[in-house]
Amino acid sequence: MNVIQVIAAFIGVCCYGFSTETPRRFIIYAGIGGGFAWMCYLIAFDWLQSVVFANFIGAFSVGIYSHVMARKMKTPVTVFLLGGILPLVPGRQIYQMVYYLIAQQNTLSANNLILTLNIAGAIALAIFLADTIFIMLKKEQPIQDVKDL
Amino acid sequence: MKSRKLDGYQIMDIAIKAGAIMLENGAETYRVEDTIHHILKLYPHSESSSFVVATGIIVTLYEKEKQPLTVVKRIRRRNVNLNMIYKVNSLSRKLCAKEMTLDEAQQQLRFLHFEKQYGAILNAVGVFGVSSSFTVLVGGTLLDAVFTLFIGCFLAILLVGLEATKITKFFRTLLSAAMVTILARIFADLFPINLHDDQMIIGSIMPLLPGMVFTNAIRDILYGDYTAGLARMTEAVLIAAAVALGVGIGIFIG
Repeated sequence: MNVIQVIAAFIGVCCYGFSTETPRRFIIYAGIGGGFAWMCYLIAFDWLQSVVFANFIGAFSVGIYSHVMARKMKTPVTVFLLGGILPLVPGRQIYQMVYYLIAQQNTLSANNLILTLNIAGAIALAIFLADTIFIMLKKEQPIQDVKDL
Repeated sequence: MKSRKLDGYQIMDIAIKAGAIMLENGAETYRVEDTIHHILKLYPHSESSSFVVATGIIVTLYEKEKQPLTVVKRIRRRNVNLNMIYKVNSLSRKLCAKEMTLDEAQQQLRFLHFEKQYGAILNAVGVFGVSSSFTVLVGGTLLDAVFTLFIGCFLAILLVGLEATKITKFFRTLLSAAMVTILARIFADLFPINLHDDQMIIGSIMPLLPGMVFTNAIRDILYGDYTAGLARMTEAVLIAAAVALGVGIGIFIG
């Protein structure tokens, strides 16, 4: 089942490339990023039994993957990162939040809302971390301020 | 003296066009500023400053003992086209490595606006492919995925149709989410096979969720572009709320 899910993530992210107009030669790599993210998520979930941590690990690994690929291919990181993050978007939690709200089970609904926010935070933290690592490794200086004015 | 002045205008034109195309097609703010800065560095004996927010670009080219040159560019159209970002990025790379002349760059930028890699059909594949694969991803069976394929087709047509109308993005998303939810529930009720409507709905709303806007917002904030980051974060929250509301309405009706 897990292998099927990883393949589904790969196909899904490849398809997503069509709607975001990903350059043709990078679509496969973007898809691999998606599959990789989901694989890391599943492994981390088996290991830690926590959705939030698993999302963190998944997002962090796809962040590293995107940066490495962007370096290698000389493209903006966005090309790989936007698609790769997609499998981790907390769609299930948002759905369940609404579902339980309609079913008038407010506690479960609130739980799912908090879980959604936690996952969003975990993904944000993972992207922060991956980006920061690669900013540190970057050779050229960032934008300089105007000196003479 | 006169030729150098003209040169400045040309570089400014290239920088502004490159920046505008990147921003229109969903690049991060820091990348737009970086690209503009790199291109303007080609102009000797000058300093440049750029200020980019989600809705516009302000660039100044400052030369000693001369009038500074400032351009404001308002951005209205916003969509996602990673190919454009990639192309402008490699163009600016080539320009800075002196592998391309300014005239060539100007020429290329002029025609870049009208380019699209994939046709309408592949764009539609982008929608229902995502829907049906993510149904499997959240634990649906392959049978669910096949039915989600139909819902995804419907969603793709709906999205194109709604885009032609003047409805705001919030209500477009809300309406689409409501429609796919109703459709998934109808499918689950109608067919005498064991379909999981939860997984089908989650898969179908996946293309609507603002994962991309959220990612860009996070990265903008990390790089210190708080204004742009906050604007994008607001957009992400608003779209997510629209999806949630739409699903709620769909469950209520269906």
